Amino acid sequence: MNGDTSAPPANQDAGSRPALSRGGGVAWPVSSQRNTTVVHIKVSRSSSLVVVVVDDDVFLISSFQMQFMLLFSRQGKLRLQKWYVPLSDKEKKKITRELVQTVLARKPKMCSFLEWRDLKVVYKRYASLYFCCAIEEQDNELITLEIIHRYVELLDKYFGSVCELDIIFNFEKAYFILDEFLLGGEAQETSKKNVLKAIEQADLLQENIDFQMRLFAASRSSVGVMTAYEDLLLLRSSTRCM
Amino acid sequence: MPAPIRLRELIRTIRTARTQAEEREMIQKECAAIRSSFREEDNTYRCRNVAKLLYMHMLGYPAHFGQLECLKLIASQKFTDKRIGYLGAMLLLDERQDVHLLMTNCIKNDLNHSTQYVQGLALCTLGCMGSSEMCRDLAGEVEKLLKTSNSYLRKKAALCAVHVIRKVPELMEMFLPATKNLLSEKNHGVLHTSVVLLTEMCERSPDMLAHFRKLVPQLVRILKNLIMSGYSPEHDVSGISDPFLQVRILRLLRILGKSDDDSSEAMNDILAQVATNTETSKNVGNAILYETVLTIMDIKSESGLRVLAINILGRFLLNNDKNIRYVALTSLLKTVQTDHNAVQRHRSTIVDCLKDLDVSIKRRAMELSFALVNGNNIRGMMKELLYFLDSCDPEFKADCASGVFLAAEKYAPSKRWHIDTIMRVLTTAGSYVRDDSVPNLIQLITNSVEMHAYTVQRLYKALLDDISQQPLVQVASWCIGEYGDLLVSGQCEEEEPIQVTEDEVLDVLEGLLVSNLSTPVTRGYSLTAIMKLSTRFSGVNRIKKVVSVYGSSIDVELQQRAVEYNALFKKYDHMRPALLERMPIMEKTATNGPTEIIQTNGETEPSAVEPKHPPPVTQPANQANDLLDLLGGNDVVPVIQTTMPTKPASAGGELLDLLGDLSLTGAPAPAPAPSSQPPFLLDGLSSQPLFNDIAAAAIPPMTAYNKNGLKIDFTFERANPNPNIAVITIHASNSTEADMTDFVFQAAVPKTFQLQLLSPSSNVVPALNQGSVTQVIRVLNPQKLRMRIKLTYTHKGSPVQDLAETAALELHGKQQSI
Repeated sequence: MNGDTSAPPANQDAGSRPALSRGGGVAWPVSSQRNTTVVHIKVSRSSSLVVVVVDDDVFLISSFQMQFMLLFSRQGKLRLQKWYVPLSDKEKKKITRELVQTVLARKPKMCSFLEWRDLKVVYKRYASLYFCCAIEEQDNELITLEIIHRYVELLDKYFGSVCELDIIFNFEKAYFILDEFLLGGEAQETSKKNVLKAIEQADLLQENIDFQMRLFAASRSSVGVMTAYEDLLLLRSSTRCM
Repeated sequence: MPAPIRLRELIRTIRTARTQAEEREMIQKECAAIRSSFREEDNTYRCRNVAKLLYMHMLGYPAHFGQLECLKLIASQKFTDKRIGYLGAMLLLDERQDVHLLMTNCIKNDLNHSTQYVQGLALCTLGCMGSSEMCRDLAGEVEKLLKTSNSYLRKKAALCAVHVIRKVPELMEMFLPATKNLLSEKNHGVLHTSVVLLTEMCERSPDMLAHFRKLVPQLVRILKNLIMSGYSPEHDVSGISDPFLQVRILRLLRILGKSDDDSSEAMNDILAQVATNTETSKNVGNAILYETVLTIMDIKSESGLRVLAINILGRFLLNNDKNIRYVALTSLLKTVQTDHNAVQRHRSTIVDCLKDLDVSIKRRAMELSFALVNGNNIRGMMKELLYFLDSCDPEFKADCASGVFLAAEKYAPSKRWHIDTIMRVLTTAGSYVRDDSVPNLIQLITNSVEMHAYTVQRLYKALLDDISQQPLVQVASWCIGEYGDLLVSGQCEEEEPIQVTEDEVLDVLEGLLVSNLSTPVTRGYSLTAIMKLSTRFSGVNRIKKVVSVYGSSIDVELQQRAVEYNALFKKYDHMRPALLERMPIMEKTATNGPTEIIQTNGETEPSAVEPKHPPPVTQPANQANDLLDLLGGNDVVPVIQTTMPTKPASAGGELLDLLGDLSLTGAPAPAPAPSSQPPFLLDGLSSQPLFNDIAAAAIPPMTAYNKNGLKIDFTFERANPNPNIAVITIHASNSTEADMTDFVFQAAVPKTFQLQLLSPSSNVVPALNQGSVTQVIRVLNPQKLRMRIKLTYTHKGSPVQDLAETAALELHGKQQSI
């Protein structure tokens, strides 16, 4: 898959500009005062290389970004997947399978990082669940561990000492929390409180609509009103919506 | 229609499944129900059904048929529907499907919705999976939201802008006005995402980078506030105030300060403060320190600061946490080029990491150790690395061995040390070294003339210990063949000479010939060595006997070699001393040519690139060489040279050499008259039907090969209208009870012919003659032709390789009968 990761080092030779533009990249002028060209080169399916050419100096740029996040159990069952790069289903499955195997094969005392294809994989086990993030070469592995930890804390706060079953049965909630914490592979909120507040309010919004629906349905039958209220109470505790 | 079961209930049911098949059955049933519900356009339960589908999707089942339903949910007015709809869209859709474009309008509406949570969902989806078309259409909305006062939307809009810029870089300038007030924001979420956005813009455009350099003081102030301010519960992580934001700011400072003196100057102080004041007992603190170190190394920082940074990494190396050690090794590897001496100070700690149990750390430590090797420490470092090579996992051996070779070549303090080191690698990791290490070592040995006696003695001793490491055995055989006289004369200045007799040496070499540890290549080396010794040792009779015994070896290569050497004894004895003279000092490039040819031939076995004599003088010999090399990597080049003096440079000699026809009867095959070659017409002919006239096949079919159950028949046709082209169809059949897989048929003909092999019908020869593989060969200018064929295949799991030669094919003079 990463067959063409060894792209020619473009920064060594300023004269290679025409060749770079030919290599499938999109060239466009940034501003007219200086002769600046930005070329995007697809290095592998998951990462692209940006080459900026100003006059004759060539800068190589690669953006930092989390590529994907996977949660899987010790048995290798996928519990959550979030992809921040567009990949086909087949590729996603292949990557997941390979990565799950590699991570599960590692001994508990080993370090949390592994180099895998052209990416760095940061993983950490919490009880029976593995949290696994793929980041790029230049990214800070240690802060990625903190991001994983923060997500676990959020789950824990939300579910109240979270366990694997909570995530299985409320997987959509786990996604909602993740989407409130990370966006496009970057953390959007550094305060735990704010994330949880947002989730709770969104839940409330959902419940209110749900509740109105139920009341409406219940009003047609004489038995229903009480059950609707009971349902609401249940809903608040287990945040059951469907 | 009854209400579909609830999501939790479905999950519970699926979890009761005991087998994969049971689970699949349940899911199929539920999918059918969901499909029919979708078909009925049921709005009440669509949300529930899509949620169930998402669960099945996570289990690995197809869920694409829910894509459109997600879009319908997004368009719904209910928040629950929208929430699940957007979630489903992010999971089931991406920019590869055109369907996603149908969302654009819905997202646009939702971005202008009155509820911030709906707006948030739309922003999140756009920032996660928006394609470039979508980004172009919606960038305006994102920009508007980036300017709102609502921090919940503002932070999401900032990250969305990052995504838009990644997808469509030319939209970057559009967000420039909105960035003005971003850093004066109090909310950490907005601050954090703004820094991400600024980073993205600076990385993508040098103009933006120059523009944002003025923000350095502001960033420094924010960072200072973070580390100086007291405890703030909202953003505290084990005693550190908002590490996420700190790391991001440090990263942006790194980009802004890179190759810019003023900015670097402005951030020196704060970097020093962060580096000294950060609490390091927890991972968060180390994450910040790590980012600080990277920034210090990247910008134009003061030398004192750089030393501080390297020392932080040195402290990291001693940390108990493996993750921290790993990070330290990775970053030291990055800085080793620029701050070599500073890194050098931590050498012993780095070398200690070679003994770590974790492979990730070991690998990093190995790379770093090789980077630290220089002329001063080579002896000590190599000792450690050779020890590592000895004990490490197989996955490291190849890299480590080639690292040792490279370092030894670069910094070897003496020739003797160099030779010792390479020999040590070959003895410990012989089977992992690259193919070219054998010729490289041989070349190194020949070039150090004064070391010959020492080397041959060392190698001889190594042979006595162990004959299983093939590369070592090959080098040893070669050296004993060349310098056997030095070995028995017992002259060695470097170490205590050993006493060996000629018979003992021959015993060892003959042992190699019969040992089943030896590969065919090794046997070839060993036979040649024995032959070479015939001019260096006093007794020749024993050598003659060995050589003649192998004249009937079942290994074609060995046999050919032995037969030729035998002829050398009998017919050309007067030339033998001259032919078997010691090899001249070799040019390194001399071995390159044949190596490449062998590689193109797809040889995987250790190549037997016999160091060649100086380039042959005559052209035909060269051609014959190439053909032989093409045919099989095992051919030994000197064979041809031995025949050169007797056969003048004629086409006949060439054919003779090629076919290895130095027969004992001494009757050479009639040399074909050197004919002017007709123009090469194969290209023009490729459109012609191959088998246009079966009746024209006037040449009787023949069996070219029949061994081990594999039978290869040739049938012949002449392609009309050009009588100069013969079409040979091969039929390979297999009479054993197991299939032959990976079947490859190769053929070589002398240069006066042109041969084209078309692709085979299959590469598996079915067992019990249940079918055959056919392959078409076209020969231009056919005459009386002998063909050498090479067969490789896998039979019952083991690879088989064989060479054969066909009887003379009577392809000429048949034109009349066609």
